[in-house]
Amino acid sequence: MKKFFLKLGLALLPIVAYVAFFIAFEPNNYFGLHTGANADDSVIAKIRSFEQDGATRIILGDSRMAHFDADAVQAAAGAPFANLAFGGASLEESIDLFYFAFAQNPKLEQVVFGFTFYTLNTNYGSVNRMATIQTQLQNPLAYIFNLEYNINTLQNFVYKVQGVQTGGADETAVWGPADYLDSTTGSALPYRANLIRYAASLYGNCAQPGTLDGAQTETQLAAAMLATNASASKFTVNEEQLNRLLEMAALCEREGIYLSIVLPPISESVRELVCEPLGIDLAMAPALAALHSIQSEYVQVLDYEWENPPAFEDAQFFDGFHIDTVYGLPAFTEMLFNEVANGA
Amino acid sequence: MRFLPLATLAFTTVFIYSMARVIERAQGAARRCLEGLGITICLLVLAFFKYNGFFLPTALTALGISRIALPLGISFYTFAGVGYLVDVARGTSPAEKSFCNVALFLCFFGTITSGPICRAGNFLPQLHQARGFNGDACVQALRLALVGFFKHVALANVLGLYVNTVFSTLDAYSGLTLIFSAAMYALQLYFEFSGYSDIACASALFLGLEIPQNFKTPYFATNFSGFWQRWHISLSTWLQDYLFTPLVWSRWPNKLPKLGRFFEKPPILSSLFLVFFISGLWHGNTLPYVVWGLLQGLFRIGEELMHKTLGKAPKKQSAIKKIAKRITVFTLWAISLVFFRLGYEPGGSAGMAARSILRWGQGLSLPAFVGETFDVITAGFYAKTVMVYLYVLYLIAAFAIAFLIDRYQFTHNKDKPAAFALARVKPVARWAIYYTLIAFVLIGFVLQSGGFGIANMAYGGF
Repeated sequence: MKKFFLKLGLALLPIVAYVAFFIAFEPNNYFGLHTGANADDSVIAKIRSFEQDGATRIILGDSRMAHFDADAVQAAAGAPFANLAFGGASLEESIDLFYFAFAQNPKLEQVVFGFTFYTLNTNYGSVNRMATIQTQLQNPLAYIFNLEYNINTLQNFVYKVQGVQTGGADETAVWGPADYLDSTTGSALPYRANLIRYAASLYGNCAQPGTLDGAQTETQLAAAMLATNASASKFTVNEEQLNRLLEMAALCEREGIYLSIVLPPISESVRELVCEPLGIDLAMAPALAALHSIQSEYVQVLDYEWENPPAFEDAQFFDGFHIDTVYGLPAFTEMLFNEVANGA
Repeated sequence: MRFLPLATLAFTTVFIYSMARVIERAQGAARRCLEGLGITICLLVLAFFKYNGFFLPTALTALGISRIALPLGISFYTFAGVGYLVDVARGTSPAEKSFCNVALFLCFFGTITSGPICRAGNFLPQLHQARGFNGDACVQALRLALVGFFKHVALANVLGLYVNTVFSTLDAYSGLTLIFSAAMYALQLYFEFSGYSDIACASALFLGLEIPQNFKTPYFATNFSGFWQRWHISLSTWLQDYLFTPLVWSRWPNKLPKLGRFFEKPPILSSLFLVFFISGLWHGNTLPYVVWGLLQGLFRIGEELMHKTLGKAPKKQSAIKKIAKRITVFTLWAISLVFFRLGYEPGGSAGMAARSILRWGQGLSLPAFVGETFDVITAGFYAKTVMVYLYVLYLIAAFAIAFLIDRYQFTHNKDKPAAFALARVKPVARWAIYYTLIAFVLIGFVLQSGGFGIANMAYGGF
């Protein structure tokens, strides 16, 4: 029997070595054995950290809510928040994540929940990854054998060997007059060139196919978007997810959890090239009214998308949706979390 | 309803145990009656679960039940139980006195989900023998399990990522891709099922039990007769012993009014056809499965008729002739499997399978095939180009190893798994083989993200 177990041990060596390597270099600190996660933007890393710390204040939403500096948030709000927002999160995923976090920690005190007209669109069409993420959180084997995390682990190992420092890439840039010229013809543009391209990219989910056909240059794209009307729109409010959001707010109300529903600011270019021509502002009105109607002691709606005057200039936006992490985000963090703290 | 599968298993076990005891005590016509009753009740239970959605949809809807789930392993423990009752009635196997032994025979964890179907005459006597820890047997079991995992996880499941993507959107592809995917499915099915059977045999061997080998290099067969002696052997021999042989000797066509005289005597070919038809119907009550079964019947009968008219092929044949025959058998088998595969594809139909096969001759362009293969892999499961190349290289390497394993078994180790031959390899080479196979299993697991969220087994749900 001794000989058999010796052979079995020898046979298991590669598996043990593989698991040990994975645990040593996996970037999300899944097992809580490292001092910190290398992939701070990963949803797994964020949720694991939340589970380990037992945080009672959380931030949910997509990439617009994911880039807040934790220290700046704490300074403005007067309390630390665990940021569970992640890039590309759909409204459905963010709501699912709220329920998951609530199940993990029923003592939640405060939730800052970000969403936008774009994720409330029925045609957002994103796959819900929460079931997969939950499986990975609950079953270490699902995490260890996941292809993407294995690639990340290998990459992390290579970075460590090369001594490369890893961390979230800042979305920042300094824009000059040249950025307001058409990249093909060189003619002056009504908006920054990258903002026009970004606005055009939103037409995929918000407008009928072929709406911008034929427009190639930034000048042509801007002209085509300004000439569009609501008949080209395919934007509709996702009533199912809106109702889920309202139910979530009602739950927070019942449980005494302070909920701040945040619509982060959008660039004027998105408002004028996408929302107004396609009539999204009008289509969103009933949804916004429904949200405002549930405001209470525990639920506040902070709408920087539609109601607030454009407090942020073009230069403070990295693209149409994302505030520049250096030139805009600090101001927005302070503004938002002061209001969040006042509302609680 | 939650406990229905467990209750069914409990009922079947108690029923078969008691029935076998009663049958053993009965004599003559009473024994035959009891045997018939036992078989009928077992098969009625099986048929109820397998075909209730077909025969009773209205009744079930009225009861507020959308569907009744198939109890895990019901086909396999029913087949084992029916075989046991028949063996007891024939006097070839005594009725087991220990209820626990019968329960273990029917519910053995290694075989209950997808076989191999054990025979009472082989399994039950082993339970009466004294067993202790046997290091050599355990090492052999680990070798067998390792090869099984390699075939199942490292090859079939990874290959399944491609096959599943193509079969879910068959209309989108040209002829060469359709031919290639049909061939790949035939290989996926074989490696998955034989790998699973190896793991089942290994788990039994680990506990000191020997269960029947289910596959013996079927793709080396040069005719369908040989193929069915090597493919899913436990089911083929079960059908032969408990369905085909009784059908032939019962001379069932004689009982058909007027029509009986058109059948041959004894009714070998017609019984063969009937057995394959029932085999198709057992796999599923939809047309694609039935067509698959009928095609197997046609292939076998066609082969028998060819032997009758042209005479049997000489035992010694040229290598080229043998290879050509193997390719023919594999091609016909792969064609029939398109029906089988679409039998469990949601929305799949016999018409879809036939249309797909009819399109095999269209668009036979190599560049189109390469482009489509690339698209299938990137759109289906790997977004990055480098992963596409790694996936293809990995599969080529895995296929090469699997071919060597099968080739070795075919040429040197015909009646035993190739894994057992590893004991004869020098230690350094042997451990190099172990580590290579383990590495492939690990990489295979990762390539399919551990199999979490991936579709069912290619051979399952029967």
